[in-house]
Order: sequence, then C-alpha cells, then structure tokens
Amino acid sequence: MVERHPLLTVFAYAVLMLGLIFALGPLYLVLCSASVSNQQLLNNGIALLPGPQLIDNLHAVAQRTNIGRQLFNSLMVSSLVVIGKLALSSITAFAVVYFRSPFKPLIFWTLFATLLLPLEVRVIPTYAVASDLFEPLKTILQSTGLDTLIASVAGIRIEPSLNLLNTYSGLSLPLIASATGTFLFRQFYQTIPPELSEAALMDGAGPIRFFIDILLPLSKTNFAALGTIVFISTWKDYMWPLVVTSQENMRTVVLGMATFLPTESGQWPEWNLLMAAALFAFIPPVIVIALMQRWFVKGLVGVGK
Amino acid sequence: MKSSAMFQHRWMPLALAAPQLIIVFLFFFWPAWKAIWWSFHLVRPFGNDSVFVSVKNYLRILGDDSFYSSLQATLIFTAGSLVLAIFIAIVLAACAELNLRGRKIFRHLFIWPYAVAGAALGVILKFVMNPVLGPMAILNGIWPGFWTPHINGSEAMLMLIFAFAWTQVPFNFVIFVAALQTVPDDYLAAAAIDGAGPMRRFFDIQLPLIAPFVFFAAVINVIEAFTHSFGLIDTLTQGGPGGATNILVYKIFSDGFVGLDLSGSSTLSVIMMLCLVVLTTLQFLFFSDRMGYER
Repeated sequence: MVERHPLLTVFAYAVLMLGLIFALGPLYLVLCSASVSNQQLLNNGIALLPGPQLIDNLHAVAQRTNIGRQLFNSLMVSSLVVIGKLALSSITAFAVVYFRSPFKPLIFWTLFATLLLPLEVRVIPTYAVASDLFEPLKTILQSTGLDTLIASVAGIRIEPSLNLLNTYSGLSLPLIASATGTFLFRQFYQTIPPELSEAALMDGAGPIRFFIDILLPLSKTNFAALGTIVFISTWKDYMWPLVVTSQENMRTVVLGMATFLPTESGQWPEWNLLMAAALFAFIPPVIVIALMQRWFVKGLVGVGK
Repeated sequence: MKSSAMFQHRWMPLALAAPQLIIVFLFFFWPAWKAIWWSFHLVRPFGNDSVFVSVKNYLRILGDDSFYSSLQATLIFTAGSLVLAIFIAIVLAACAELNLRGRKIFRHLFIWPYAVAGAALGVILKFVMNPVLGPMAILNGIWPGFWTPHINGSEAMLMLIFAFAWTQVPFNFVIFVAALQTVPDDYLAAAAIDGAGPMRRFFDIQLPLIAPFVFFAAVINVIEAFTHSFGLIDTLTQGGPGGATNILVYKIFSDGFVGLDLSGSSTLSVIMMLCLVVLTTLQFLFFSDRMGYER
C-alpha cells in the first residue's frame, strides 16, 4: 500500500478486531462452555471464561458415544473421497485435454451437467440408488425384455442387487464424482506448454507414460490444494451421512454430534457435553486448515475460479 | 484450445474417463431422471407401485400455499445471508489488505471458521442463542419476550441468516483478498499522488476492479444458500417455528423422508433443478473466460 494514515490504521484495526470477535467468538464460547460443569451453565448461563473441566467433559463424551469410531469414520470417508476425487478428476481432465477424440464434448458436457444437480436437490432418488445400486441395470434388462430372454434361455433369473446403505462406499461414492475437481485440473493442464507433450511424443512416450512421469509430478500443488479443500468439505458434510447411515457405528462425527441433541422436547440437554462433542467435530478440520494454510487458500481460490 | 501435440487415440480418452462417467451416471443422472419420473407419477413410499398423473403433481405443488411460503423464506434467507456475507467479507478483506502490522495473522484467523460444519454451527448456536442461557437471556431479563426465536418466525429467520452468513464469510474473504492482490500497486500509488484518500481509492479503483469477483462470489453464495444450508437448518430450527425457516432444500428433504411424499418432493427437486440451471448458466456466461470452462 501507498501511505500510512494514523486514523485509518486505528479504524482498520478496530474493524479487524470486531471481525475477529465475529469469526472466532462462537468458537471461543464453545471452548469455554465445554470446559465447565453443566450445573455452572444452568446457574450462570453461558461461560465466558475457560474452566477446569475440559478433559473430563471430553472424556465423558467419549464414554457416552463412540466418538473414536465416529472420528475414524469421518477420517475414512474424507480420505476415500480425497483419493477417489483426485484420481478421477486428474485422469478425466487428462482425457479431456490431451486427446483428439470425438468423445471429448460428450465427456465435457456430461461433467458440466453435474454442476446443475447438487446432492441436496436429488437426495431422495440418490438414496434410492444407494439402497439398490444395480437398479438401473435391472431396469434396462426389464425394459428391453433381456431378462425374460435370459431366463428362458439359461433358466436363471438375473436380479442384480447391491445395497450401499451403511457402508463406506455408500458414504463416499456419491461425493467423489463431481465436476469441480476435473475442471480445476483441466484448467491447470491447459497452462502447461504444448512443447512438453510434443517432446514426450518425440521421445516415444505414450499417453500413460506422459501422464505418470510428467503430468503428475507437475500437478503436486494442485493435488495438495484440491485434496485439502475436498477433505474439509467432506468432513463437514451432514446431509448425505444422515440419509445413508442408520447404524450408530457408521455415523460420522458431525452427524454424531448432532444426534447428541436431546430428542424429547423439554428434556434439558447437557450443554457442556454437547459443546465438547462440537469440539470433536470441528477441531480436526481447524488443524488441517492451520497446517495446510497455503494449499487450503489455493484450493479455495482454484475451486472458486 | 492451443495447438498442442495431442495423442491420437480414439477410444482411450473414453476409457480413461469411464470410471468417473459411470459414477456420475449412477449417482447424478439416474437419480435426476428418477426425480423427473417420480414428478410425473403418484408414487408409493419406496415401493414400485406408481400411477402416471402427468402434471398433477406440479399443479398440486404450485397450488399449495406452503410452497409459496417456502419459496418466500428461501428468497429472504438467500438475499439476507448473501448481502451480509459479501459485505462483511469485503470490509474485512479491504482492511486486511492495508499495510498493517499483523495482517498475515488476521488473514489466517479469518478463514478458520471454514472448518465449522453448518450442522456444528447449528448445534453451537442452539446453545449460544438460547433465550434462557445465552447472552440473549440478559436482554430477555430487561425486556421479557425480546428474544424468542423458538416461537417467533422472523427472529428464527434472522438467526439463520446471521449463522449462514458466518459460514460463508471465510470463502468470500479468501476470494476477495486474492482479488485485491490482483489490483496493481501502481494504480493506487498514482491515485494517491493525485490526492485520492484511502476511501476514495477503495471505491474508485479497488472495488470496480474486483467487481467481477464479487459477482462471482455472490453467485456461489446463492447456490450454497440454495443447497448447503441443510445441515444448519436441521440442527438449529428444523424449518420451524411454524414453517418460517422451511426453505426449499429442507422442504424437499422433509416432504420426502419425513412426509414420505415422494412425488411432491421430486416435483420440488425438479423445480429446484430448473432454478439451478438458471444460476449456473449465469455463472458460466459471466465467468467462462476466467474459469476455463470454454471449449
């Protein structure tokens, strides 16, 4: 910037401090309330200073619900989605950018259309698909009459069925495929000078070789950026785990924390434990953001653009 | 596309893209098709029994008052959280871009809330905004009945708008800081020499130059409010009180899974998809150059 302006500096600091209270205030209150007894909360209202009971409360939450398992589930699902999404997006973007093929528009517009169909909007039919993955196949067989044909020829009735409810694949697969990652890689590959692939071609490298030996090492930054952002957004996801899991031991931690809310109206929740459970839900992604700051910002800007 | 040495394989790209395309087909297109199919049929809950009713579902939804109140709630919620989230993020980004000590620390801290899931924020606010325990209890003590979001619809909506804006600020902040960094220092220096103060520079140079980013963030915010507000609403208000915060994405869920009205819920899904087509086209048209979506 150009000049220093004492009044402006004071004003800007004031605004930033207010912003900080706005941004971190709720998190601070959670920390305070998670570290006192419930009795104190009921007597004095919300805690404004940290108390001595944080470890006890976290321990109580861990005993009350299977928080270890839930944390593991969140970690598992987020990692699966990160790996799956990075692999699929980088390979698909490679297919779209580096080949001359009549199928490219088909691939491109198929993926583009996914931008119009967020999970939240198609959640109920997606649940139906997850409960019976082979339903499309079955429908095709039935509508073409192939199943009766096979039944009369081979004497067996084909009824393919695969239930993904309460499984890790059910939790992660619908989140893996989406266009954003593919477009991010596509954009990056397009900035790579064409001389590189020409040289590789002249040296006799095939497409797979080129992808693994040249493109992948060049995309490290993109992998880190997209990976961080996908990890955090999968961790935060609430609707799909809510829909696709009914068993306690398949719940992710964000969902588990929400089910800690009292179900019966009039039941007085143990707020301190609820806040301790909330800590379990958001501390891991905060740590990821703090550690991966640079990649996280790159990812946000990249996915945004 | 630049002229680059392309690999000459006809089928290989299709084979490479196949895994992604199969998943997309199974979890995007098939469900979307199913939603459209169900919207033209009367469907029994998760049974195979269905009767073709043509546009009767649409007529039923479009003639239902609860649809319009939900639509209205969606618009208020979206517009409110959008304006708030953009405004706060711009002010913070502009201040964080001034040559201040410790601006890096501020920049780091402001994005931490991104880690908090909407559902987690809902649980937290259920406690913090509680009329008996929270800071609002003091106001209720002075003026009984001042803060009652569990029975007052507009207070519940206000709470939801603030909460959702809170979840959106970190993303907008990151985008705006990145945008402000693209503004050349020379412009600002030149303006300063011409005697323009910091405010003047902000409104006449920085703001117009980052305007496309602001518009972009706004479109993303609208799409997020349409879709990703579910967790927050489910933990904080459950669409209540009296349907005051029953915005479309929540209504789709509750009509379908709680009310088991698959036809009605699917019809809503289709209507919502049409809204998203408009929004995404808007995003695409305005940003195709920068986003590299162009073919």
